[in-house]
Amino acid sequence: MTARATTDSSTDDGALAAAYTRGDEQAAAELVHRHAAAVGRFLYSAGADAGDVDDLLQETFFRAFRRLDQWGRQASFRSWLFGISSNLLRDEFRRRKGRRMFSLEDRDIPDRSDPHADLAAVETEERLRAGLGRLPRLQREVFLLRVNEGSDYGQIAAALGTTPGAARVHYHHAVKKLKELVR
Amino acid sequence: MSVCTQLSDRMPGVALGRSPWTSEEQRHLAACADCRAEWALILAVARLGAGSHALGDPSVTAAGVLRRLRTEGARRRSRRPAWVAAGLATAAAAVLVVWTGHDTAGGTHAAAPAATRIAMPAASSTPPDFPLPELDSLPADALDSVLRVLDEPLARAGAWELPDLDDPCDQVLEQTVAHKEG
Repeated sequence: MTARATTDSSTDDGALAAAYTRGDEQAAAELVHRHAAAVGRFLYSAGADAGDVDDLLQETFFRAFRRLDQWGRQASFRSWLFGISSNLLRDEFRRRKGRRMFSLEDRDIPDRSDPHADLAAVETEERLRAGLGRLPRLQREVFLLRVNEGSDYGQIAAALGTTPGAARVHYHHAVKKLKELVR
Repeated sequence: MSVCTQLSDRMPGVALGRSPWTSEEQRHLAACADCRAEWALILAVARLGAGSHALGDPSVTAAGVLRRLRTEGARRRSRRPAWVAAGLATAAAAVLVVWTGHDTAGGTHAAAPAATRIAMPAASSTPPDFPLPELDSLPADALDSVLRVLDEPLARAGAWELPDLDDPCDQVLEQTVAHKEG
């Protein structure tokens, strides 16, 4: 597996990024539309409070567009965004002086037909989020990029500044620790 | 690579709907409790990612990002002329210090009219070449004396005192020029 993403969508991202540097704001808006959901999912799953996700998302894109010249294309644009949001989360975690960012009490119970199943699902979700919160940062982020985005280890390594081999090891450590939470 | 490892590698892709389980994989999954637990975990986390938290409208996010970028761009542009102005002001202040330094340091020429003073280049690397053939005939003592007089204002303040425009020297100069031009 290689770190370089060669799909059509990443080529298009490059063209959009270039268009934005020439002053085309619509190109930037298109990039936000393409990647906001994935980056938001990542931020939320990685531990951002639900109420902070939108702010962190905006900050991620703001930083990305401000330093587009630093996107070396070794990673896809989305992987690069994950890297920026990962750094943001780390900064936020430090700003809160190590206090966990996970907040479980403000979750809404989804409105489904079977309230018992709903409750069980919510409990599982809470256990999972708590379990994710206890993982070392790199393990958590590797795991989430793999499971939520289906990224390969090369893409994950490029986004998080590690090696594909190390990413694979982090992933399996995370799986091993989290498996018990859903048995 | 064991079947469990192969399945583990495939799980995220299957959970995201990118490809289905093969019948062989399904059989293994039914028989292996460890793989089933991992599959349950992957499905739960995938649901968590796509879960009940509704993300904001990307149009709102995009608008907010672009607004911030525009604001920052405008701030940068307005900051740049301020730096230029500050640089020019500093340079002007430096020239002023050199200009007035002569008066404050020496005080001997303070009374001279401002219009009769010219600034000397403060940091010229090569001295100007003034051909003065008349000086060649002067004896060494006289030449030293002339050089001292010429060097003194340069060393002290970098400004020359010039005589008033209606000074008799000018008349002499004009006469000399007129004579040379015939």
